[in-house]
Amino acid sequence: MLKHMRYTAVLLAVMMCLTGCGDTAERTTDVKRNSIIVWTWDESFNVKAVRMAAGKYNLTHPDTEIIVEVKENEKVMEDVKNILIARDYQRLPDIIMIEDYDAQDMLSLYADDFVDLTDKIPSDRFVEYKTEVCSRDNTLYGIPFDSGVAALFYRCDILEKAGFTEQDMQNLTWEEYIAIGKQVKEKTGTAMLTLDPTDLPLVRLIMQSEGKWYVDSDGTTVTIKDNSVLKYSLQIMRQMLEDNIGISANGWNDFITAFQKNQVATVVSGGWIISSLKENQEQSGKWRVARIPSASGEKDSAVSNVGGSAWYILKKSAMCEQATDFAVSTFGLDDELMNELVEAIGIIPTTTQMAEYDNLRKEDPFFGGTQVSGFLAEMCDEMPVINYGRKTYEIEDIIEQEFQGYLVNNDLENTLEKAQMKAEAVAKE
Amino acid sequence: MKNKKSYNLLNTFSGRISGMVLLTALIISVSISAVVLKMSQNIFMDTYGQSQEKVFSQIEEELNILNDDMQKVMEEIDSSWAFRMYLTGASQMDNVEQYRNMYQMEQDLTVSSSSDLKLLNIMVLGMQGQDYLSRTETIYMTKDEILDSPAAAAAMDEPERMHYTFAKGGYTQTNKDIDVIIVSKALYYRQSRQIYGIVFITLNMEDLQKYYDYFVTDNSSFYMVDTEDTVVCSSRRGTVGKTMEDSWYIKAKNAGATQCTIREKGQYLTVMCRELPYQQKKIYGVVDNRLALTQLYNMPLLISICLAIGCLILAVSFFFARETIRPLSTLVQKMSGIKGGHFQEYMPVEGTLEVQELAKTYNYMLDDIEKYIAELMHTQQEKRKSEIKALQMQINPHFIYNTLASIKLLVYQNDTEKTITTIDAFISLLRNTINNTDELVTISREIENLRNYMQIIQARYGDAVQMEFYISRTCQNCEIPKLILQPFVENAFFHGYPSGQKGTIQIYIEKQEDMLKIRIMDDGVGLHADADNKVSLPVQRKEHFSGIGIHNIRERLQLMYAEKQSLSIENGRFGGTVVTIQLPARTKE
Repeated sequence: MLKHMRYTAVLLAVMMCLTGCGDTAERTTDVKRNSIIVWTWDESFNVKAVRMAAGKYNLTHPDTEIIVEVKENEKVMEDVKNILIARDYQRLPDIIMIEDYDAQDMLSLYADDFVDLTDKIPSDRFVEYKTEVCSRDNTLYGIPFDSGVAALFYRCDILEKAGFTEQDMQNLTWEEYIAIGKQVKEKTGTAMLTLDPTDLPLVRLIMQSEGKWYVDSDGTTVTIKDNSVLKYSLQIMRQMLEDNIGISANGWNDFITAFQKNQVATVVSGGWIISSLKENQEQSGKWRVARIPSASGEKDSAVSNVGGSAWYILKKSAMCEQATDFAVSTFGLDDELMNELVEAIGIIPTTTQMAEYDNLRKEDPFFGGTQVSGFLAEMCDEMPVINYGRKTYEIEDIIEQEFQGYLVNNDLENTLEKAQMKAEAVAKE
Repeated sequence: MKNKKSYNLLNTFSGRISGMVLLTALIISVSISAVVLKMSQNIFMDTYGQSQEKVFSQIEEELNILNDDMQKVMEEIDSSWAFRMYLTGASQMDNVEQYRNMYQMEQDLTVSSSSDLKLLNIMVLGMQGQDYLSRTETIYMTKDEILDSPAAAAAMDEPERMHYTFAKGGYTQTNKDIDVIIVSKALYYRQSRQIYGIVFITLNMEDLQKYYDYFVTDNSSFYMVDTEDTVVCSSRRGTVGKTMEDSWYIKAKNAGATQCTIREKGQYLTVMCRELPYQQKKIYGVVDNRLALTQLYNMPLLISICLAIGCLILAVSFFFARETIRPLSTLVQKMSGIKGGHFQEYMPVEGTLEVQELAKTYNYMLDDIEKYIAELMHTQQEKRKSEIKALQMQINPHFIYNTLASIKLLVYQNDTEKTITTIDAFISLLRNTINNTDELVTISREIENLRNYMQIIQARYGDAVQMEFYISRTCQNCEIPKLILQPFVENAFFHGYPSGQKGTIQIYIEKQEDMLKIRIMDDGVGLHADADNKVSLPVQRKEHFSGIGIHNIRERLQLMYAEKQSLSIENGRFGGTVVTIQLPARTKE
């Protein structure tokens, strides 16, 4: 009898094991993707660059698919921040582009979420002012991409109608620029440039050309109140509006439409605008390039920057390792690719090897046979190094608002005083 | 018969019992599992359905909130003086005013949009050609193309409300080639109903995904369908833009209920439907219950567990059955042994009570049979013995007559001495034969009888034939069956010496180890031998001394000594007959 009970006990134990193991099996639904996802904006510039890099990379890595998802600059920032906050790493892209003005903000918040590239890219690979922007605490997180080196692009046909030669457009001061604008407006009815009430690239451009910013070189001390360059740039803007040479444009669409539809005679912007200029091939040969007007009154010294961005790799993404390999081996170290990009999208590279890029010396028929890329690239070395700080766009929102008041009351001192207070509140760490 | 016995597992006890147990276990487990599965399925479906419905209602709510948000944006634009001035009277403003107006537009929009709609793709198109785009991108269509689009036409047709129009591409560069829903509303003067602009908000599938994403799983999908049965948004991206033709959709549409269950062609779907009156769309949530259940129950695992348990039951029950039945099998083997006459094969008493009882009874039966057989043998032997006893006690009357006649003759001859010795011998012979009822006699007594017998015979037939005895001294007290030697002597006397021949009959008795060897040798004519050298004794009708003859001596010896004796009759080497008897030597106690 005892024997039988023992058998029964063993039998029961076995059945329990069998039935018990049912719920230990766990199902995982993770689908491992096999493609690198890149988030960037500007179809004619950044997107095209990634596609070219991908094409080149696929020659040696045919199994790696690279997908570009086009998102606006703000959207990229917002989505990535949301995903990082939610820790929903499944949805994280592998590589994103961050505009230089946003870089420090992003790095200060999420430096740990980006791949440390210090050991992967030689420290003298890129020009100093870009390396600075892409680093935090002496650690490099971004691969500098395009330089935002700014220039004055102008329509020589329109200016000619107003009686100006190419020679007249070289080494201007802003006052001279306005004077020319007035004449152009008078003679041709065409405005000089577009001004966006919600975006002040002109202010940033003028400030950087004089080595100044909304904040001091420590990145946090707000320097609006006694910032003579800022004061100067706002006065220039007001002057342009009042003299009808700067027409209002709301957003990117208006900005692009204006020069593509012959509504303005010049564009003062970063080198990256060249790809958009070229979209209207009817204007081929009519554009020329010159140094931006100077703010100091000293001719021949104005070098500045608008925009510009860099690639960042997200550490917790699904394909992080492959993405790092891709980005470093193409945008990071491939001089040949950079040379091709110069020709294809008119990028002004930020590497220190620019002497090797023979495409920089190519004469561009769209700009009447001038070496436009080479011209821009040359200025990179003279670029003032600026610490943009973390709150560029927040402070600019305040400036935009106060500028509206200044347009009405014409009291610049008071305006900047108010802006200083608000900006200090925003920038306080 | 034995060779034909194929080992059919199903025809054995253990096979049948374990088969039965397995069958029962399977029937029980299958039926109970089926019932439990069915019950739990129903409970699961109920609760799952309820929770799915709640989630689905949440979608409806969120989409209504989205509509409210859109409405708010539209109203803000409609009521914004900045927008109105921008769209209608831009030319009357100077440059600075335009700049400030534009800033005001941006401010108005920022105020109106809730935080999660900050980056809405809003495009405002003035009838005089002004446009506004909230996003950092470009419009790729011309104004006329936009105004000809279905979304614009719908807005102008019915300017009072918002229209949700599906399009295979938006107006801007980034959503040029993707599926979008364009929310359009005309801006118009209330009094004159003159339209001065149209607002377009473009929602792409990514934007909409977050409104239904939490509902969608592997087994549930979401569809938004317009009044023409075209899918405008779906969790199954492939169906977007196509006309709904699935049978579940047609059924659910005809049923018109907010929730219905559809079973057909192996499908088991729960379809939920809600009407979005503002959007003029219907949303459907389809839950594939079969798939949900497959995920709930790991069928392969269940089946393999059942199989494993089945095998286990089969093995265990087979083992148990065999263990239980084993005594019976032993019994069967032992019973086959009985056929060969082995009655000593007892059964070990073990196993279940019934089997123990069976074994006991069997053993008891074996004992009985053996006892009865022994008894039967015994009775038979006794019967024979008494028969022989009766025979040996009975003296042939002819012998008595003849002897008496001989004595009478002696009396006539007046040979008194001889008469007396003959009568003495006769008396002694009669006493020893009739009075002594013992079966066994000592050799000395038997010799005495033989002498007496010889005396009588010689008195009758003369003394031409003599007798000589050579008895080993150690044999004197050994016992032998009564009248065992007399018939041979009688036979030798009457048949060995025809027509008055002279001769001697010699009797040798000696002990060899524990055997008695008795030889009766005559020097007469011997026996007729047949071809096989087998001798046969002539049959003598009369003149027997007693009922005991040569013919039943063998039988007597057999009965008394079984295999331990031997009797042989053969012709002697120098003529005559030799009878050799060997018996176990036994002395009287």
